[in-house]
Amino acid sequence: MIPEIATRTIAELAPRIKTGAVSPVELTELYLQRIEKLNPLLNAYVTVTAEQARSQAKVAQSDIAGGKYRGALHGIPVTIKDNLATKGIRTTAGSKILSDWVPDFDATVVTRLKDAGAIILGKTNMHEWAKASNTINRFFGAIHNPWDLNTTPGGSSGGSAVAVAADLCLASIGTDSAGSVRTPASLCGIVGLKPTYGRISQHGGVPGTGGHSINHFGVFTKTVEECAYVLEVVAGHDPRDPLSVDDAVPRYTDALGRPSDSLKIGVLDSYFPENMSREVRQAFDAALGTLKRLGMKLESISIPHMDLVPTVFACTMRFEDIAPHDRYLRTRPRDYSPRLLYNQIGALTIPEATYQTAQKVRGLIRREFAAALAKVDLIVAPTMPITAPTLEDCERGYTEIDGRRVPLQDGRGNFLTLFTIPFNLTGLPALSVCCGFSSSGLPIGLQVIGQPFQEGRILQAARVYEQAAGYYRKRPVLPITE
Amino acid sequence: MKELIRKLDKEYGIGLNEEEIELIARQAEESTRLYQKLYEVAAAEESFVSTGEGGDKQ
Repeated sequence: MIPEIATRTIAELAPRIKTGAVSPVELTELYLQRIEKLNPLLNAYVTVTAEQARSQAKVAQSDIAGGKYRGALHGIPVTIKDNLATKGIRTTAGSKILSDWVPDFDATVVTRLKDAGAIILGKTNMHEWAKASNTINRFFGAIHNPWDLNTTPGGSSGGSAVAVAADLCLASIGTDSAGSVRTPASLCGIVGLKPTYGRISQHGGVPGTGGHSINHFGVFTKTVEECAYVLEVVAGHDPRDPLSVDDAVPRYTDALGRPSDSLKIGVLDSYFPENMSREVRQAFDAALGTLKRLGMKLESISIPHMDLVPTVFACTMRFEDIAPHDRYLRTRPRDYSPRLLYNQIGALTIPEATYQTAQKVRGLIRREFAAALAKVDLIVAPTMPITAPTLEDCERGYTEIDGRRVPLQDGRGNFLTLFTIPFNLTGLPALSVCCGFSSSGLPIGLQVIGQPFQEGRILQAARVYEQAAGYYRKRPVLPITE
Repeated sequence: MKELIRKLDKEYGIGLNEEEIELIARQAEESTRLYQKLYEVAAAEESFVSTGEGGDKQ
């Protein structure tokens, strides 16, 4: 029997699929029915691959019945952000320019999911070219947050986060060059992991959807345990991505049960406190209290050049990501939305010397983080300064925070990603887990950051926190039942 | 900056109007001002290293 939607997780389903108590065919059908009912409301999917999913589910069911069970993702329905190549399935990157592109190959993460027996339900909607975080897509429509349909789910992987939060799939793979996994995970109340740079192969990512040195592939799930299962499958060296690291992939699920009461947790003393809203501060302070009660020791840490993170980031991202767009700017410039076109032309004005200078300062910031992480095991911070702004706020470009009008975009860059970009610049692994709700019922995320390739320790601490805090049990109320 | 934007517009064959050129130039100028701070910090860091205070960066 298939568990109720509220308690349906990979951890719950995998043993039942293995024994044949849950049928992948029936499970897939339930998700397809749910997508049919809810996607018109949420717009999380840009392409639903129903027939292919049914066919994969039949093969999975037959293999499992024949004793060929492959592991925890076998028969599990998942989705893929639409900037990752999928063989025979349209891959748009949220753009008009690639709206008809059908790749003849799979991204390595897709191959690994298929090899693990996962069922691909479809491709998730995203911000155009992954270039902003409100996921109001001019060509494929705005995505709606299941906690409040008038608010943004964040982005750019907004469709992936909504698909997981609204139980339209069990896990999703997104990309994160500025926080595009962690910010929508935070706004949708789920888990989003951006692992260390090089941990997951980026082969098959659409060029032009994230600067080469700051982009990462990441994982969305409802719980930390599920995230560990998915990471074990998609992580690891890939000869087709020379920047992927050739180290063995640990069994992340083994880390989940380890004691966390001796962990030293760093709390940054600047940049974050002055930018967060009152409600985010309250939730963050409560999370710190929970970590202390769990026996972890808190320590204040400083990053002297933290204030330069947004400028270094903006320069790096814009300079690195303009080259793949050169031919489209020359041939189809008006097929970009106007705001993106103007940003792209602005990026062409950045001199090489400025980029190189930004990399020097980036090196300084990385060394400062390395020194801080030599003193503590993990760092925690809010994932975002605020809860989900309304779609209307996103359109007009500002929001109200504690009575102040705050621009969502200014010279420093995107306000919504201020707290996530430090870990794109440094390449450090970072995970967002729900740490509470605002007075209007919108989720708030806690970011857990670790030393390079210490995803196991992050998952360990986040799991202990998640179980103690219990916010993962709260689900958005949607106007359908199964 | 406006001249640079006009040059890019011509090179890429985009066909920007004057309002668009002004908007892009204004944004690019703002970014350029912010990037100046990076040069100052990088220069200070280089001088820090060259005076022997940079430790393992020597």
